[in-house]
Parts: sequence; C-alpha cells; structure tokens
Amino acid sequence: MGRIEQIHSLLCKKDISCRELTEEYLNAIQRDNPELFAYVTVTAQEALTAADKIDRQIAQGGDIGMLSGVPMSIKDNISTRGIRTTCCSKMLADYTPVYDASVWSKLKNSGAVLLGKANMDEFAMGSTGENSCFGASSNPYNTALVSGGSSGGSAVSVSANLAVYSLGTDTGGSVRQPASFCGVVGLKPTYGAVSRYGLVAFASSLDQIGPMASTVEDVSLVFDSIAGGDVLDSTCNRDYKPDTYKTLKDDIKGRTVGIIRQFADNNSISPEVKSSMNEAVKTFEDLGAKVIMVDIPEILRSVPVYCVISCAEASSNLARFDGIRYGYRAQGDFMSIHQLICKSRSEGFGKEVKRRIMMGTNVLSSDKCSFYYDKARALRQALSNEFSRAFSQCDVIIAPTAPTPAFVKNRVVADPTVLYMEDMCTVCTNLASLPAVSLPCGYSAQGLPIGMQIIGDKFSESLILNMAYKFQQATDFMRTSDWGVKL
Amino acid sequence: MKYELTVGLETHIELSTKSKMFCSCSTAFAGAPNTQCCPVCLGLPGSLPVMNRYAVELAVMAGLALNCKVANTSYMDRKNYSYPDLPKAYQISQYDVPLCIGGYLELQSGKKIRITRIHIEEDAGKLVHKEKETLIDYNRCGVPLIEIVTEPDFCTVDEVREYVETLQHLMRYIGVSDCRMQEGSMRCDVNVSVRLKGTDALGTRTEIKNMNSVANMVRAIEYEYTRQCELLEKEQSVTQDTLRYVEETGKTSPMRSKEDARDYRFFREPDLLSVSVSDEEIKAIKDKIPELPKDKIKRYIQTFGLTEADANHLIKYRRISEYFDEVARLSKSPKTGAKFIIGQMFSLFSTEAQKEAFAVRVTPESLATLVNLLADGKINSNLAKTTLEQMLITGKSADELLSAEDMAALSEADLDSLCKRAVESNTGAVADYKGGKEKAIMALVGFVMRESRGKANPESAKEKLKEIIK
Amino acid sequence: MITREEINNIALLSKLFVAENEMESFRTDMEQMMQFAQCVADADTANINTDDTASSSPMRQDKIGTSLTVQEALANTDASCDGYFVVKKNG
Repeated sequence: MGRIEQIHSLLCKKDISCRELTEEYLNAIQRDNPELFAYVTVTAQEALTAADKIDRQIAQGGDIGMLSGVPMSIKDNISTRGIRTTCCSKMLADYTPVYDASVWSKLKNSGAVLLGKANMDEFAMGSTGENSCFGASSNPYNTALVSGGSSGGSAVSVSANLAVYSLGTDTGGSVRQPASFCGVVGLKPTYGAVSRYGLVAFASSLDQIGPMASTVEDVSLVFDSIAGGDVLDSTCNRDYKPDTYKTLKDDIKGRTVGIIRQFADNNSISPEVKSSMNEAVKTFEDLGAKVIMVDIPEILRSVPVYCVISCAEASSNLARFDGIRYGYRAQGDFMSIHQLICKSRSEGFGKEVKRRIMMGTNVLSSDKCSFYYDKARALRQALSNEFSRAFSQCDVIIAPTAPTPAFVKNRVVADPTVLYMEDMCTVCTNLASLPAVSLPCGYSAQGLPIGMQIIGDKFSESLILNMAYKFQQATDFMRTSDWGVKL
Repeated sequence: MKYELTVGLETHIELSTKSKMFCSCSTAFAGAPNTQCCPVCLGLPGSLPVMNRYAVELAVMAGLALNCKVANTSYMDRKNYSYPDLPKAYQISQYDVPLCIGGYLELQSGKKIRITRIHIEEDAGKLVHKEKETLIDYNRCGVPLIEIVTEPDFCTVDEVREYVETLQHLMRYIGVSDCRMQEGSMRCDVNVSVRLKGTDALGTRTEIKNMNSVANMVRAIEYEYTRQCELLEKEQSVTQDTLRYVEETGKTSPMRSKEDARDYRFFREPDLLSVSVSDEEIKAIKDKIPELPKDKIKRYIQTFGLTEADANHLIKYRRISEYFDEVARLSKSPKTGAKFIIGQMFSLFSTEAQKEAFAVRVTPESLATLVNLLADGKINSNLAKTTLEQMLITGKSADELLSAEDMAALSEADLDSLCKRAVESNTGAVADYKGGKEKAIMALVGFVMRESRGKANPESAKEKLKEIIK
Repeated sequence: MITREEINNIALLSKLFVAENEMESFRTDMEQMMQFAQCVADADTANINTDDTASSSPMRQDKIGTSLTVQEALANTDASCDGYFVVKKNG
C-alpha cells in the first residue's frame, strides 16, 4: 500500500490526528535536516495551520480527499505565496512571491500540508545537489555522497521519510536522477501535462514539474492531482485529464518493452547499472512482456544538443534578474545602471549559473545562432522523430536513469562538460517531450540504489506508471530508510 | 539639391484592447503607477504569457486595411535586450514570420508607400527621469502593439507627414487604435539616409527613435538631412547610429553607449505556440472593417455630388460619416443633409473630442425628415434652419415643432396673388428696379416673405415678381 | 579557441562582470563547453523541419482581470517611491 493511502486511512480512522502526524514530521526534520539538508525553509506554522484545518474537517464528519493532510515538500523554484522561494541562489535569497504556482494552488486546495521548501541546485542547474548557495544536500544512504540534482532536497526529503511526497522539477533529468540516487520513485511528465505557471523557468521548452515519492502508487496519485490544463500556461495541454491510478494494476502481459542499443553498448554506463538493467529485462519478461532492441542514434548527440538549447533558453530566462524589481542588488556606487546590474548579477549568481548564461548568450549571438541554436533545434526534432519510430515498435522503452550510482561529494573536475554527461540517460526524454518514471531496480555492492527509467510516448503516463507498478510489485527494491518518520 | 533624401518609417501603434497582450491587466492610460500590473507583465519569476485574441484581430484588421497579406500561421519570438523598462529583459515580438507582409498606403499623389511588414508585440514600461534617479512605472508594460514597417520609399518630409496623418486617421477610423501621439499610443522610429542625386545605392542610414509628434519628426528629418549632407561634403562618412531628437536644441544625438550594444539573439518564444488565423477568421475580420475613408470620399463626391472639402469634413470622424450615411440613405437630398451637418451641427462643438463623439439630440431619421420637408418644398430654407436649431436644442422632431400651417405649401395661386400685391404696394421699389437698381427687387421679395410668414420660397417669389414687373 | 575579448563581449551582453582573476577560468570553461557543442555545429540539419504548425497558442478573451496591488508589485524591493520602482543614477 502506498504511503498516501496509508496516511489517508489513519487520518480517516482517527488513528492519528493530522496535527500529530505533522508534528512528527516537523520533529524529524528538526532532528535530521541539519545532517541531510533536504530543506532550506521549514514552514512549521503554515503546516500546523493546514493540519488543524484538516482535523476540523475530519471532526465535522466531512470526507477528505486522498491528498488531504498528507505532509509534503516543494522544490524551492516553485512559487509559494508568502513563503520565500529562493531557487537556492543568493540572487533570490530574500524573494517572497506574491502569487502561487498553479500546481501549489491545486494541492493547497486539496488540503496538502506543506512542511517546507526543498534544497536544490541553484536555478536547477546541476546534477549533484552541490550547487546550492545554502549548502549541499546529502544522500541518506551515505551522507558522504551526493543526493543527485537538481531536485536533490526533494529526493532526500522523500528518501529520508521527512516528507511523504515532494514536487521536484525536471529539465534534463533533475527529478529522475536524484530519485535514482536516493532510491525513490520520480516522474517527469510529458511536456505540457502539468502547468509551469509559477515554476521559475530554467529552460522553458524542457522544464516540467514532477512528483517524487517512495512508491509508484503515491507518484500516481500526486500526478493525477497536479496534471491537467491551466489557462495561465499556453504550453499546457488543455485536453489531458489523466487518471493513472485507475489503471495502475492492469496486467502488462503482451506489452512490448524496448531497450536502447545506444545505452546497452555504452561504456560510460557502469557494469553494476548494466547488470541491474539486465535483471530488469528478465523481470519484464517474467511479467509477460516482450523485450526488443531499438535504435535511437541521436541519443549520442543528445547531451550537447541539450546543453545548447537549455543554456540558450536559460540565458534569456535569467536575464530578468537585475535587482531592480526584486532580488539581489549590489551595494555601492556605480557609474551606470548597466554596471549596477552587472555587479548584482555577478555577485548574486553562482559560477555554474554564470557559465551557462554565458554559453547561452554565445550560442544565440547573431554570428553563431544558425550554427548552434538553430541546428540544436533541428537535431532535437530528429531525436523526437526517432523516438516516434521506436514507439511504433514497442509500448514503452526502459533505460538506466544514471550511468552510475551516487558518487562522492566535491568531485573535482577540470572540465564542466564531464558533469553534464551525468545526464546522458535522461536528457533525451526532455528533448523529445516524453514522460519517464524512474524507480529503483537494484543496489550496488555498497548498497547504493540504482534507478531504471520507463519511458513512454507522449501523454502515456497511465501506461508507464502501470508498467512501473507491476515492476515494483514483482521486485523488492523499495527500502525504508532509518531516517525520519516511521509510520 | 545635390543629395536626395530617403526615409523609412517604423510606426508603433498601441491597439485599442481593454486588457494587455499577454495578461488581463487593464490598458487604461494614466493610471496611478504600478497599479495595473501582475506577475506576467511585471515579469516575475515563474510567470507565463497567454495571448489576447482581440489584439490579434485588431492587428489583422490593420493589415487588411493596409492591403497586406495576412499569414495563416505566424510565430512569436523573443527579442533579448536589457533596459529598465523591460522587466523580462526580452520583448515578446515577431521576427522572421510576422503576421502581415507586403501592403501599401496610397498618398494623395497616387504614390504608394510600400509596407514591408506588420507584426505584433508588447509595449514596455515608462521611465521618468529625475535629476538623481529614474522612476519606473510598468502600467504600460505588456500593452499590445503593432509595428508597421515601410520600405525606404519617402523622398520628402511632406510625404512623411501625409503618411503619418493618413495612417493615424485610418487606424482611428477603423477602431484599431486611438493613435494619440501625445499620449504615446503612436510612436515613430525614423530611418534617414541621403545619397547623391542619381545614384541607386542608398546611403548609410541613421535611426531616430520614439518620435511622438509630426512636427518634431519633420524637424528631426530636416536636421538629420543637413547633418548627413555636411558630413558627406567634408568627405566623412555617416555612421549607422541610433539617435534621439532633442526638442530643446532641435538636434539629434546618439542614444546608445557601448554598454547598450544590442544583439537581439532572436529565438522562438518557447512559452507560446504558433499564432493561427484561418481564412474564415480573416474574412470575418475583413467584413467588420467599415468602408474606408478614401472610398467614402469617392462615393460622396461621385454619388451625392458633395465637394471634396465637404466630403473630407464628413469622414474626419467615423461617427459623423456613419451618421451622414444614414441621413443620406433616408433622405432625398444628401447634399442638403451634409449642409445641415457641416453648417449647423458642427458649430455645436468646441473641442475635437466633442466633435469626434458627435453627441447630438437629433437622430439621422429626424434630420432626414427635415431634409425631405425642404426637398418637397413644404418648408423653405429659412424655416428649415430655424427648425433645426430648435431640434438640436429641444430634441423634438420636425413634425412636433412645425404646425400644419407652417408646412402647408403655399399654392401657386397664393404666391401669384401675393406677388401682385407686392408690386401694387411697393411702387417705389418697382420704379427703382425698372430704373436699373437690381437690388430693389429684394424689397418686394421681402414683402412677399413677410406676408406669407416666411412660407414663400424666396427664389420662386423673385422669379414671379420679375415676370410681373416686366 | 575563445579569446578574452570574446569573453568580455559575451559578458557584456549577458550583463555579467568577469573579474581579472576569473577570466582564465571562464575562458577555458567556455572553450570546453563550445568544444562539447561542436558536434551540433558540424551536424547536417538541412532536411529537418522544426516549426510546429500542428498546435496553435490558446487565446484569451479581452477582459480585464485582477491586477496586483501596488504594494504587492513593490513587495520585493526596498527601492521604491510613491508607487514607482526607483533606480539611482550614477551612484
């Protein structure tokens, strides 16, 4: 049984009050967060107020929804009105939004209990959780290791039982990769399935908000709740109203599962990960699925393509941060507004963010644009076309989430692009706007979780979650951590 | 003149929508600062644009009125640059696939100023420069704009003046924009270059930005023409600069420093999808466009026999021309109707705004009735004039104001006898007239008018009197 | 090969300030990143069509909705006066 359903039952049966439940989580956070640093802001007052409201509703005999009273966390790049939203950047350290992101509005109305804002890589740029201006989050399996990123705090909060579920964001793998490193389930929805209104943009054509939880059922419930049209987001599909929970338990006999040759043959993917993937193939075959090999050659260029597109869009999206209307403004005297703005931005942004902004400005500049940005768009279309062709041969595609399990913090790299290759397994689905769910499929010799992605065609979240659920039930890879709240 | 002037114009026009281009904040002018803003038009982190359908409609209407081809599919692009009045540090505009291309505006001379393109975009905020600081108001940020770009077809400042005034009138007339240059709802960027007479290649052009009055535009062009000619005479070259016109000095000066160097890095706006207008929608918009002023003028002159001057008076404001069209439709003498409108009704208004609103207490039907009474000879022009005055004041109809007797026609026989009596009673005047004083007949006419209590037609009376006297 | 001048131009457009002691680090980083993206520049993309005509932007009615109050608009800055955002000139 998923956690959400479990809690819903406890609350309805009054085995525990929502306040008691919330206090348990808040206490656990107080105890464990200093070491794990999953949260950068804890919203104890708001959480207890919301909890009390739920308790009143239950006392009055009212029906509460599945997500009512369930304590959760939100990545700190999603706008929460009246609660500071920093993107873990000095640039927004004191920024408090005056409006709610649409997804948060929805969940708030469903009675969600917000425990706090989760740590992340600055402006969602990073794959380790170490680019936060407040300090790195740590992997609950081994605190010397990275949590993964950029939704590191979200993954940690779920993995360490400091939240039942979390909303993260995924631009190139930022929900799935930390989910994989921390042994939890994370979904990147189809581009356009979930509203981006209120999500501080990194790369507008790639960003999606996605749920993370410890079971597939929980992810399914949250996704169904946040997905759907939004008049405030022009890129959000107005016709899609999924009910993935309904078909989670469908039989998957006869389904065809594809494996990508370009990953299977890839030497950057560690032997342990490959071995877990091979085991996963056997599991699907045992469940009655047929497994075939598919070719997606454009995957080999997908990280550079992603780099060009995401940096280009980011350079534009982050240009608004100049300290004039909000955000960090440098002190001192300046000869011109231009200088003030340059100083504010240079002091407010971390190094990775500055690198990517400059890269983006460069690839969009008039003499380079047609070589880099325009071509990257074309290659992106080509990749999309290849996936379409693959989906004519199979129902879903499975792939590793990350080339290795979690690694040691403070890894020194001379070349920033080495870190970008950490995203090699995930960026392709953002580029092709496809949904992908990551869930544990094995453990390394050191006991570190290994994640597998199940990738589907556009708007096939019901199918990939169904396949994920069946896999989860057929295996025993869900572990309960020693951290946090024990229910 | 050794050097020829070449001018191209880029005109920004604010569309008459109630709400902004990408959000539902009000577009009302002169609101208290930053009271008409939201996360979208303030560019707050996480905000996203959603297009205003009516803005696209008005843009299409403008394109059709300027004889452009309207694209079924066009795209929005980001134009990236940093300036305090631009909160997102990019403007959502259109770059390589705009909404309209290839139109023209015809001048009186018959010359067609070619319109390269019209595209939709959003306006920026307003900066108020004080001595030690700059104040920023984002109320205007996000107001829908169209940018109308011409080919470098202008050769004289008169052509430029005529184009701007005609464009302004046309856009107001069809309801696309109020085009108030003083309020900033219409601004022009002027591209100026000069070349040796007879050469084909255009000279290097400079761009004078944000001109908000025709008079200043003319002065700026003339200054720039002189400046560029002088440079070339000294064998120096003109640098491609962005300039502003300083009203106090009457000169242009460079606007941008090295720090403001612009590379717009255009790319497709990822937060929006394509702008799609079907052929059916284009036709429906076309049907909404009223008869254009230039076509009305032709029709008034050719069909109703109005003078060009009177026709121009009537088409100045849409309400007036529509009022006149109705009167013309319902009456036997549109020309008379025009006279009443221009001669009497216009004098009711003291401001242009009042005239544009044309709030009169006389309906077109009512005026048409009066016109017909006059045309049928039931009343004469004097009575018509005084009656109209009363109608305008009281709002009553002609029927209510005129008695049966007033309207009863003076019969031929009655007129005959009146004229005979006039001749008999005014022998002195008759003698004067016979003696060569032409004007003496007017005394007799006056007698007939008085005796008939104004009902007689003075012209007919005069003719009859002349007959009798002979 | 990316030159210091190019880094300065990029920084200018990006509204960033590259200090002297950071210059070499940014320069080599950019060089590596552009090298990484070289395969994109080298690709033959002539036959690929990118503009999506299938879906068009949803449109909204021209109705006035609720705006922020001026306090909300100014909520995240100290530099405001009489409802305006304020930027000081020349320090």
